[in-house]
Amino acid sequence: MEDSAIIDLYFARSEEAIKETAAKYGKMLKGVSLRILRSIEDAEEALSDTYMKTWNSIPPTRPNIFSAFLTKIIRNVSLDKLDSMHADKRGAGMIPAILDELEECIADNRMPVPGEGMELREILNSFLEKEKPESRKIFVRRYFFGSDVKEIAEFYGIGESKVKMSLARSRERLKVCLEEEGVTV
Amino acid sequence: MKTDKNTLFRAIGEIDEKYVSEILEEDASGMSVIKSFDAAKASTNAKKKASGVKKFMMYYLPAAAALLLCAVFVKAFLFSRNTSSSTGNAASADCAAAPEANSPIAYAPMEAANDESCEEADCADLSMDAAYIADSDNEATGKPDTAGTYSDEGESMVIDGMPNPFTDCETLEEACVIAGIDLTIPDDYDFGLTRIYRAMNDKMIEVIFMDGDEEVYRIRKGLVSEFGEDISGDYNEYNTSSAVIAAGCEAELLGNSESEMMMARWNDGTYAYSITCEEPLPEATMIGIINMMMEK
Repeated sequence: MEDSAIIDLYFARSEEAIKETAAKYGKMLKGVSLRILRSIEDAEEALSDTYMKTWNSIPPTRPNIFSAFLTKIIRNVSLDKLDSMHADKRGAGMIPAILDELEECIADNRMPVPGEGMELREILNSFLEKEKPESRKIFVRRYFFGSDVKEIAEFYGIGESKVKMSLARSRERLKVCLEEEGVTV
Repeated sequence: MKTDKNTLFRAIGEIDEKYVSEILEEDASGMSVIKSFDAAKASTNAKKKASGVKKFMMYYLPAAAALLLCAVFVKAFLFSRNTSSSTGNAASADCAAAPEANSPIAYAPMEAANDESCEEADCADLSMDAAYIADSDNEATGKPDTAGTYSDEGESMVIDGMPNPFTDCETLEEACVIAGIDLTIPDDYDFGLTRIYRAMNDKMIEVIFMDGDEEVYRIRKGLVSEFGEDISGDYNEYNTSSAVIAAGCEAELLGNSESEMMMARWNDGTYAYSITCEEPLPEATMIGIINMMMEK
């Protein structure tokens, strides 16, 4: 079923909407959650929460790109779950490693809220816009989807060191972007 | 508890949907950007190839020609000595200078060639060709190889190609001992690359960072007294050049733009240093590598 038709089902408040969403995107969404949570059980829970949030968001929201809209929701749901798991001293996955890498982008390890400059989201979008497609995709796979370096290297048929190199260069450029927008002290 | 890096990580979750979508489409179609990587790689390889051809034409070809010329002169000189001491009249006009299998290869002496007519000189050339053929035959028949080896009454001289001044080493420590120079590896910029350690006796140390068979970048440290202030060996021309102060030294960074640096060189008076890249590195990375190399 076309995405627009599924969205129409949400607007019609038909429960078929969730069924169709699960049929079309369930597997992919579960994969996104699994990368973060590293537990099938937790990922399935996150998936259910995602359907619930989607149901509550549409309407009024009409997503432009439904798959990306769902992916963003499950990423956030999974991260929320991960936070609560950390509180319970459960779970780990590769998120700590990813966070350590991202820490390099912040000059003095503090992240003030951008004031007069652009919002963080806009800075990131602007940064991604300027990136070359290859390095942007590697960056998004690593830091949005939480893929590990090996997985990315295998997907693109390149060496792991090349992926690491690409990520390191992207982080350097992001750091410059953040500094330019005053996201450093 | 959320930290600053958490905020950034969360914010990445809010990026424009089109960036997420392009990954999802890639996953769904099973198509990756391998093609674009391949295209980029092909382009890089073409550049490297072009650069290699340029280097070959500019440096290696003249060097090889000069070596060949030297070899011919040495050969002619040795045979002129050989001929005057043993055969005396080897350059006779009957062109019978072709060597016998068990005898030293006899060429017409240069002096004779100069003194006699052009015809005789041609004969001498022909005899030299014959000697080359004889050498080839020896190789083919499994007889002792005389190529590049010239005997003169029991003495022999072997002319080899240009010797490689570098010694490949197993470890950094070994390279440091041979070079007599300490070097700090920029571990933070290792990127999981494999390393090749090389040293030049009491003169220079070099580490090449490899991604599989491809070089990513290399660092050098050598004596200013031996090599001058530039030991990079990179004679390419770059669009941008900037001077930065790193680790107390003024380093010159060269590249195609600020975000695409290809080379850095600097010195502390005693030692000259260089970083050369096969693929560009951001300026900040270059400075980071310099700082780490200069750490005591």
